[in-house]
Parts: sequence; C-alpha cells; structure tokens
Amino acid sequence: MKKFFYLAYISIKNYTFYLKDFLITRIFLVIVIIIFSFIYKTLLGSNQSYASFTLPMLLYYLAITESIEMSKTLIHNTISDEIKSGTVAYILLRPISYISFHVSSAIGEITIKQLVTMIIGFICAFFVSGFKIINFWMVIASLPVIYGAVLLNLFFMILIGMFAFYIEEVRPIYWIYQKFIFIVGGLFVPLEFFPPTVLKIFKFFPFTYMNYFAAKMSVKFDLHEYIIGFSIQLLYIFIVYFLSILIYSKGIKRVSIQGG
Amino acid sequence: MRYYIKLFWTFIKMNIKSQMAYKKSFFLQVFGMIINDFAFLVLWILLFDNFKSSFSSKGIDFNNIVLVWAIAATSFGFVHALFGGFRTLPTTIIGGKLDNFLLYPSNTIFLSGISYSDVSAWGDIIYGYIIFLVFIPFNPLSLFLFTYFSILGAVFFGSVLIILSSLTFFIGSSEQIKETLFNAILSFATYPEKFFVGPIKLILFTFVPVGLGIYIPVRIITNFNIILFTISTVIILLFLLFSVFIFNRGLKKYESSSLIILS
Repeated sequence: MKKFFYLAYISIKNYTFYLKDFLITRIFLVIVIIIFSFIYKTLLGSNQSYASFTLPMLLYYLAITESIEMSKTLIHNTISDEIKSGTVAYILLRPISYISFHVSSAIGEITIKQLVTMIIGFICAFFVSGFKIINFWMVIASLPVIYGAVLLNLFFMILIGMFAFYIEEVRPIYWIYQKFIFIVGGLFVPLEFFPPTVLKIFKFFPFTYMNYFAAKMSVKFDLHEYIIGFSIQLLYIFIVYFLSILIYSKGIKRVSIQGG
Repeated sequence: MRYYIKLFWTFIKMNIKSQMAYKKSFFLQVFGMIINDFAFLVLWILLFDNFKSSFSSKGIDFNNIVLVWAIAATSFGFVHALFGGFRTLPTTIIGGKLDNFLLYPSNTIFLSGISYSDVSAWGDIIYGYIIFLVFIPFNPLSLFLFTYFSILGAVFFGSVLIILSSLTFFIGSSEQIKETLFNAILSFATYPEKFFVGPIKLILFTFVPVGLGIYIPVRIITNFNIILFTISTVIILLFLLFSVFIFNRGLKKYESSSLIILS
C-alpha cells in the first residue's frame, strides 16, 4: 500500500512544481463561467429558476463539473504510447501491476488539480452570481461522489488507453467519450434541462455519474437520490476497472517486444 | 507570389500523402472528429427542444447557432489542416527547431505553419460544410460567402496563434498561455453574439476580436452588406500583418540552439 501512496505523492510533487502553468490554464475556467452566465440567463429568461436550479446554483454546478473535467490527465495517450512503443515492458518489471501503477501515478495529481480548480471555480461563481453562495455542507457531503466521479473518469480513460492493444489510434474514442461527458454527463447544463424522455434514458449511462450526479448533489442535495446514485457510481467504477484488467490481460499477450 | 502558391500546393500534397500512409488511422481520426463535432449540435438540439421561447426572445434561432458553428469549425479546420505548425509554434521556437525553417529562402512563419498538418482537422472542415449545406438554405452566394469567411476566419485564428506563440520570443515558453487564450477565443467563437451583452460584447469586438473573425461574417452571410464585407476583410488582413510584425520582432531575439538532427 505504501508504494501506491508514494507514487501519488511523487505525482503531486511533480505537478505542483509547475504551479504557475497550472494557474494560467485555470483562466479558461473563469472564461467558461462568464460565457455560461450569459447562456444561463438566456435559458432562464424571466424565470428565477428552471427545474429548481437558480442562476447561482447553475454557476456553482458548472464550477464543479468543470473542476472534474479540467483535472483529468491524458492518461489514455500515455498508455497508448507505452503500448505502441513497447515501453509497457519496462513497467512489467516493476513490483506493481500496470493499471495500479497508472492509477497511483495519476490520482495524486488529479485530486490536487480538482480541489484547486473547484475552489477557483467557486470564487468565480461567487462574483459572477452577484456574491451569492450555496450551502457548503452539501458540497462537503458530496465530496465522496465528486471523487467517485474523478475515479470513474480515470478508470474510463485507462480503459480507452487499453484499446491501443487492438487499434492504432485511440484519440477518436477519447473524443467520443468526451462528447458523451458534454451531453450525457451534463457538463454544461443539468440533465433536467433536456426533454424528460432524454433524462430517463441518460440516467442509465455511466457518463451521468462522471459529472452530472456529483455536481447536482453538491447544489441540490437529496439523500435518497444520493444513496442510489452513489451505489450506481460505485458499481460502474468496479465494472470499468475490471473491464480494464480484462482487456489488459488479453491485450498484453498480443505484445511482442524485441530486445531493449 | 507564384512561388508561394506552388510551395503551398506542394506542402498540401506532401502532408496528405504522409497522412494517407496510415489510411485506417486517417479515416478513424477524420470520422472521429466529425462525430465529435456533431455532439455539440445534439446538445443545442436538446436545449432548443426545451427552451425555444427563451432563445427566440433573444432573437436566436437554431440556424444562427449552426452558422456560427459551421464557420468556427471550418475556419479552425482550415488553419489546423493547412497550417497546423502554428499550433505547435512555441515548442518549435523553444526547441530551436526554427533553425530548420530559417535556412530556406522562404518566409519563416509561412514554412513553420505549413510544415505540419493535423489529420483530424479535415474532419472539422467536412463537418462545417455538412451542417452548412444541411441546415442553411442553399444559394450560390451564401456558399461563396461561407467559404470566403471560413478562409478569412482561418486567417484570424492563424493570426491569433502567431501572436500568442510569438510571446515565446519575449517571455520564454508561452505554450500554456497560448493554449488557454486560444481555447478561450475558440469558446467565444462557438456561441452566437446575441448571447452576450454589455461590456463583454465590447471586449469581443476589440481586445478579443472574435466579433471580427466570426460574428460579423455570420451577419454578412445572413444579410449581405458590402460595407461590413470590406471592413471585416481589411481588418482581418491588417490583423494578419500585425501578427507577422510581432513574429518578426520576436525573431530578432531568437537564439539558435544549434540543433543537429542525425537521421
């Protein structure tokens, strides 16, 4: 267990070394919140809220979804490159499984990025909404589902990377996954903003628990929905994790490496 | 001029040829990008279904959004497919790879841009034309204007990339600043101007000139106006000249890394 924490610690250390670069990239979040404040105002029109979501709630919702989205590392590219170049062989020699190695290396960086991005997003939402705040106990209570979403995304991206055992280019799969996050994951707007039938269908997709669910619970907490949603999220985490292991164990047999 | 047209054509053929060497990967990336872009349209279709009256109260119709997306995607596609090197310019400068282009008897910025082509950008171009032809009522003038302004939009995006990348000459690697600000500009470029009001709209037509590159072309295609047509053409070309000027000023500060490539 110590080695996993050590890998996570190294990844945090590596990442905080480039703190300036990290903070510069967060300007994008500020701009996204400003753009969407206009779009939300258009959607709400003369109403105070839609589906019980007020403008401040929507802005804080966006801060959370974007913090999950912007904290991702492009791990699928790393895995794909390692498989294609044969570097995967070097990791096989280490006393840690290939997937655990990548999870541990990435999780430290992602956790720090998500937390800082969420705080920046909240500050920005506070100013853009006209100094409105949300109930922060709901955010604290939702931290398990927020980090559940972070983990589910991470495992899904590892799964995408594993496809490099079978296809030459995994980027298109990542693009499509990303767009599912945009729509089904409710990255920009809660799913309640879509037609009701669409919402009913989307609730069964794993993407819903990669973003929308965590952000919704943070601004509109409901214990019953929380328990059901969290259970589904955990189920998806295990399914995606085991799929990754399955594809890896089948795929690694296809790798042939010459010398080194 | 003829020399550059010939060079441009030769590079396009060369880039396509090298991309087609991996046919499966080429088509996977192009079609992947088309599907990727269509997702945004699906998002708007779903929102329009529920908020039609909110949008129409602001004077925004669905075609309005489609046109903004079509121009933004095609312009983005043109600049990345034909002058993909602009996207990686800070890395080229920092890594001393500009040496390769300085040795040739051609314009350095032109060569550094055209030397690379992003495969997936062809998907953006195809997507842009598909949604334009499917959703916007067809007439030859609007098709001509769409192509014209997509090229002009590419000049706009290219100029932005050159300016942001040229910062590398003055402050060290501007990769993060370039990516962040370019993505921000791109984000504004994909929403109709009618969403924005107040000071932000002023910013979009001045400091962040998305208005000139995308919003005015949309107005002209929807409702042709020769004055706006001329103004937007002249301003974007001046913007290009300004970006080249900044690049050339920075180039004087460029220090070669004596890059030696052995292959």
